[in-house]
Amino acid sequence: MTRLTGSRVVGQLPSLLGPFVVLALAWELAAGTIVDPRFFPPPSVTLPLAAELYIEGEFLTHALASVRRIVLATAIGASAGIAVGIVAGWSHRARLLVNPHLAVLYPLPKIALLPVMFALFGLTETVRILTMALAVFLLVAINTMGGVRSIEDVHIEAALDNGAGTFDLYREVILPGARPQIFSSLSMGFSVGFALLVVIEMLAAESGLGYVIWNSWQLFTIPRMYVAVFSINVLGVLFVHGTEILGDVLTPWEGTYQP
Amino acid sequence: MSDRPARPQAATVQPRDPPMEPPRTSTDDAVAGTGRQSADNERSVRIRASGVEKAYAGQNGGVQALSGMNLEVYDSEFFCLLGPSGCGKSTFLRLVSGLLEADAGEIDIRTESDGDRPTTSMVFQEKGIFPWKSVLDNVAFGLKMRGVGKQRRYEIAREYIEKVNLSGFENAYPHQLSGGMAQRVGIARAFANDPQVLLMDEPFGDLDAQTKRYLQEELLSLWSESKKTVVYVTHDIEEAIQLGDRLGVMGARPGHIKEIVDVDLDRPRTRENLDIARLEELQTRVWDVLSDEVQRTVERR
Repeated sequence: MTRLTGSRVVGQLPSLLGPFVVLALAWELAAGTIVDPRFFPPPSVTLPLAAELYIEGEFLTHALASVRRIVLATAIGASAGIAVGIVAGWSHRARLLVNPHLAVLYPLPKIALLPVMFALFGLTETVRILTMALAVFLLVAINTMGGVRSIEDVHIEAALDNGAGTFDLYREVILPGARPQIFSSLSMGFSVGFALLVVIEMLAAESGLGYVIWNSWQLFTIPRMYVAVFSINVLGVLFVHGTEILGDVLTPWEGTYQP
Repeated sequence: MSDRPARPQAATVQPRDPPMEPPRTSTDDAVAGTGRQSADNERSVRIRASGVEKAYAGQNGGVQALSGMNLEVYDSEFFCLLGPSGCGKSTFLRLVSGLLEADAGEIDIRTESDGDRPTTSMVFQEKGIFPWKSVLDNVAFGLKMRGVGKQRRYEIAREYIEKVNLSGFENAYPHQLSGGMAQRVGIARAFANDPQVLLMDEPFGDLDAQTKRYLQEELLSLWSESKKTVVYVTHDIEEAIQLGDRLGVMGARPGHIKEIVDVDLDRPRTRENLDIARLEELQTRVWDVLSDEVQRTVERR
């Protein structure tokens, strides 16, 4: 399976790298003629700077701080979301209890809650992570619930008729039946998570790529800002599409995965 | 409606080779329960349903799906439950399987006490196999649930995959299979479970005529090999007569057995040795019983 995933990633590389290459070339040509290189430094400036900044180490610390936040937030949000989504999808009573809360919280931009969260828990790393985790949780819970509810009754009947107990029902029917939707919500969760990450780091952090973007803008170190912007972009592509690919590999019955 | 007078019941049935047919005297509401004594003596009863009632809760009060349902199914016979849609035949099958519980009445299934063979196994209408499992894992599923080791259950599963002519597709997923192939997986799963009674809920209802004919023959050969008791639900008169030893013709709202019809056609019922005249007689007779039911059902729509 790992080998297959590898070949899938290699196969996708041209389509993922293509836009970066096209943008870089156009930018390089345009800088100094059409656009102001002070605000839009060409890749010939930013790429060597990126190498320099990352080797220097400080930038790596910021990138790792961002990765740590997004990974922790998604891990917390997704595992809680899957658990709640499965229970609420399966049990009518649990759904009646949970669904209104999810429905009310879901459309609220979670960033609006940031001050409230700080007021509750203080200006801490926990709050930054929990705010992102909340967004991921709602997305994953709602989609997992939908995934569980979309499982056909006949599959439940077939499992019971073949002697499945409660545990078997979860392992053999409910989890695999909801898995495609769980993975697509995880992938969406990462993209929502990145959006929140950058804003939170800009507003209320002393580390992370979002912090570097805003800090560079204020200090007018524009090339440094672009290094951070593209770092975020690359991370986003890796996490969002990586999850999609992993999901395709783990749901071979969907037929979307062609090795 | 046919213009000829309703045939008198073809009650006296020629005893066929081995297990003797019980003398059935079917009248319009002859339920299988009548004449239980003689049936018991001559042929062992595998499933006995008496006074079964089942209602579904609905928005405008409940719907009585079955009422006063009496039926006996003999050992090793191929029994077809025939009736218009909505007559409760699938509900009855689910009561027999234990997926549903009757509100009143009893369903007894005589079980042999050998090992851990399941009492019943069901072949579902369509989509009854798991899309997220390969053919092999689908067929081995019931065995897995009963705790049969991996090697052994795959061995058994492969055997039945071969019997339904799906060798080479062990690792395929259902989305890669045609409807007929998918239904074979369901049949292989049920047979691999080696149940004492096989329940089939319109298994070929969604297939085209040729595939259907082919799978019916395949099923009959599996059945004659295993001599399992089969309860086969269908709304297709021709299919029921083609397959069944006896037919239970059902009436609707609430569902009940209207008449039991013996299908005294020799097996194998191939084109060459099929008594066409008798087949047509049986069809007419079943149609006569069903037609007013069907009319009632249609008028309600």
